Amino acid sequence: MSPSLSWIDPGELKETLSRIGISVDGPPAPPPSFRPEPSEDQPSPPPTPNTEASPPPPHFEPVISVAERIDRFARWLEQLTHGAPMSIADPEGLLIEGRGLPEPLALASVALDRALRPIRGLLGTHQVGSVTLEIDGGRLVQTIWVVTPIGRVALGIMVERPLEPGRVELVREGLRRVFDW
Amino acid sequence: MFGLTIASQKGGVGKTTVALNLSYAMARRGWRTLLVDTDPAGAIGLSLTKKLSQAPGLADHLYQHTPIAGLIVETKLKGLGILPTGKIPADESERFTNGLADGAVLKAIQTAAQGRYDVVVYDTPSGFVGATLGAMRASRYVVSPVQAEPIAARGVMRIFEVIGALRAKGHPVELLGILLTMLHTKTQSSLAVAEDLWKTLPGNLLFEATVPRDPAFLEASAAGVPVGLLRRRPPPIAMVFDQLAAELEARLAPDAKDVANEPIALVD
Repeated sequence: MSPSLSWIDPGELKETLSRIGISVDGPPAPPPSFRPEPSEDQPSPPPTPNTEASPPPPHFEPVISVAERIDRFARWLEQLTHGAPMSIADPEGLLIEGRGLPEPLALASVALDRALRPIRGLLGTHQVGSVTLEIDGGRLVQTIWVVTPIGRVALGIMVERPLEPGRVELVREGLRRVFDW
Repeated sequence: MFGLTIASQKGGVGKTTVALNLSYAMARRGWRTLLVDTDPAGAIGLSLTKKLSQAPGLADHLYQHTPIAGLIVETKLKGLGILPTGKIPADESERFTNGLADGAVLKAIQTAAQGRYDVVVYDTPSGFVGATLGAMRASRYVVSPVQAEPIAARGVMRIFEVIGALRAKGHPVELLGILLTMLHTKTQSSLAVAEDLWKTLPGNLLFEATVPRDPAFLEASAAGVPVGLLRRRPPPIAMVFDQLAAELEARLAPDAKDVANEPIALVD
């Protein structure tokens, strides 16, 4: 289990910041007062295991961070689509990645997803392939959904012609791999 | 005169919102501010008016050497100017952003704006490539917005590494601070990310100001205005950028601008 949500290694942070002239020895910023204080009825943290008696941790293959996965996927997609503007939104409609696709168009992918829920119910499937929306001047925004462990992720791409079904599946597989950790 | 780049690895973190509203807040505080849109998508123009999104701008300077002075759009707020992206053909985005990558053109804007502006704020596309690297090479300072959600937080080390690499090559760019954005104060997972960064990063690195996730931003972009101009009595969220501008002033080098620090008497 990662020690923190940000996966920042304190040693690496200290070394990296020292190279740009920032000291890590200062006190941390005080948290704002709106943070909820832990209540007494919250469970206490689990006891620290006795590391002397525990077996050594298992060996894991080097893990590529999600940010790096997304970056690699975006670069791959850029080659596949010849630099088409794109965005990736999470199930809550928050942009995970945006490369050139104006935010209103990226958010349209999320609105489309919600609009398609009844259709998915009718068809009895979670997948509706992809949807292509013509906006103006012949520009098309193609939205491709993929079900991942974090929920349904929406990829929006601005294209001149819709991606062929084979490429859509390829893109979907690539996006699925990003979140398959 | 100095350059200030708003940059982040991840897209959708609110760079344009920060660049626009911070520029507005700085201009209100007396900094003559030029906001330069280096994003080939023209995000600043799209955030304001159709006319601005179609106006000539940086691309015209890059390709046709149109003088910068004639491309700057003066706003109704005295001291705030905008240099829009300009018209970029759909298949020219890469060429545009690569043309800015060495920082020379963006640095030249500062020279051209000398005497007319105190600070040039660069809004950038996401990722540390092309125009973003160029803006950082041309700037003295960088502010990096980080969205209060796990994936964005996990990419935060990248900005330190990029600045380290630029400094190693002789560019005197400094990280002025990390700005938490899209903080959802009623969502535990969003707060958990913020808390993690508050605990992990040194206190002098994070701005105390945080930008909450707020529907007023959507309203403002729909209306084509900075959030401070959304209505005559601006929503409370607009104050965030006043606080950020004030924090920024405190962090800037003392020689960046002559500021009279004496108290101002309310009555004689």
